[in-house]
Amino acid sequence: MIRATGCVAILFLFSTAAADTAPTTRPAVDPVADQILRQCCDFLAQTHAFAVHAEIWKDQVLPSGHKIQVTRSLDLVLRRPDRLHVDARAHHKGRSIWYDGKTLTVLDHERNLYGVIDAPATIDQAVDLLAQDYGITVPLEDLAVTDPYGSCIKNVQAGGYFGDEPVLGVASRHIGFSTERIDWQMWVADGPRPLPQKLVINYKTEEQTPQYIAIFTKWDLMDHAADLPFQFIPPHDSAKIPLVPQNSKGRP
Amino acid sequence: MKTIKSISNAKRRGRDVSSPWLKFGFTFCGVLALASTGALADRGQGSIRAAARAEPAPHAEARPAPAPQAAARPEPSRAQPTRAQPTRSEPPRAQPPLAEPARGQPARPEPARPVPEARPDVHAAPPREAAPARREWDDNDEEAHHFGGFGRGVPARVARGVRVHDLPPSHREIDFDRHRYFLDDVGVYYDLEPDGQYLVIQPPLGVIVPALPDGATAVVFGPTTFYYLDGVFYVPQGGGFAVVNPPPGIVVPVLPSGASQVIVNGSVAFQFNGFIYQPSLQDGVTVYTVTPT
Repeated sequence: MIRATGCVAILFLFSTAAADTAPTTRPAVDPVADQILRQCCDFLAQTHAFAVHAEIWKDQVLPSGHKIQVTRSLDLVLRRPDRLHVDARAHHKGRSIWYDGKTLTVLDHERNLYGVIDAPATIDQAVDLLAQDYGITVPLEDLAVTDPYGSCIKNVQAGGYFGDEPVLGVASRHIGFSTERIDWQMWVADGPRPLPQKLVINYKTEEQTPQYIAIFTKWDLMDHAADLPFQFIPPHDSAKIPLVPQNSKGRP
Repeated sequence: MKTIKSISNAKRRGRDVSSPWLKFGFTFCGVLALASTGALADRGQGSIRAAARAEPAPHAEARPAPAPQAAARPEPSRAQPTRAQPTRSEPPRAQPPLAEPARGQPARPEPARPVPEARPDVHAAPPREAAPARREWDDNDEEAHHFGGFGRGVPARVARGVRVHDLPPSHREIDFDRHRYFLDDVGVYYDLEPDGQYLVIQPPLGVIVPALPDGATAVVFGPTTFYYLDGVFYVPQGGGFAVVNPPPGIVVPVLPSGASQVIVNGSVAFQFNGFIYQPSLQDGVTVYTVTPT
């Protein structure tokens, strides 16, 4: 026993000495940043239902090469595991998505046209179906999926914590992560409700590296949400049109 | 990574990090960014997850090649030396190389004009850029497509059938089939009326323009790239672009102005200039499949 203990002690001393002389191997993701992200995502994942409003600023690179910034208002309501409604508006235009556990509806507000498809059983499957088969990325879907942490941390190469900053007066913790294609930052409320207050995504591999900025307000956490917000009611004079999968677009 | 850690540690220790962006720890990824510019798919803004979906195959979703770049539109006076400067005091009808309708003489009707056959020249390089079709699911991007001249602001489009007293300051003359038409920068065609006003018209088939109007969108259909703007289809021909009929089945992103709603086989559709524009949602945006009536 004494012999074994001595060996462990020698090994410890050796490893300590080696650590003092060899270059320190730092983790790619700052543990503090990882912890903040995990707290935020776990809190979101445990929330049965919520609604949030987001003001969106996103860069748009024109064919002329000029980069402009367009704005959107976005409202997201969900009830886990099978209800989701996203409403994206720009002036009187915009598009909305309703998912009621059975069908997915996409409405083009400007033209008053909508398409409906059969939907899978969960929000995760629904947003994946829209993205993979129909070419529709649900904005801010990261907040809606079952495992926000796993979704966000996937492919992250590096991450850091950049201190505490207020976002619209809410004390927040500023974290940032990098993947091969995007850099993204999040400001997470400091306190018992670690909710995202701001998100910035930098599409660094696109021309002129456009950014997507979302400021979150009006967080409403609910134990239960009624069915009504997730049910699509066709607007007056609207018309149903086909929602065409990506692999069956009309081509000669 | 070291930079990120250094900034993070410095902040936690209360040190001043006055220019975080300069020291932002993601700079090590900048090399990758520059090396793979344009690799991200057009769709997917607003989602970290969407980028993650795309990352396993970074080169599989190359941005569609923009329409071939060509020389900028020549100044009207240089492109057509015989053309008079478009001033209000001197209307273009003052210098007629062709049979020009004089005021008081009906320029039309000219029924049953033979329409020269416009064959797509699939090998010709378009002489100016057309807008690539970048569309996000929540975009309302028609404005952007017409945002061609930053300095000039958003040009106004005049609806067909409208009569105007004067041509836009910037326009060109198009001679076709012994008749003179006028085309402004945003693809609106005008015809001189007997009363001296100008009527906004749908251009006749076969008209060849030297350059595409601002906002024309490239639409690939089979081996041919068509260019579309507000119900007018162009194909490269003879160093310019000829107005042609759309091939049945071509999909366009925007409905022509003035299209009227009809019901086809129980579904809503739109009719314009002898063609049906059948709407559908593709990639989350409304597009229109064009077929003859």
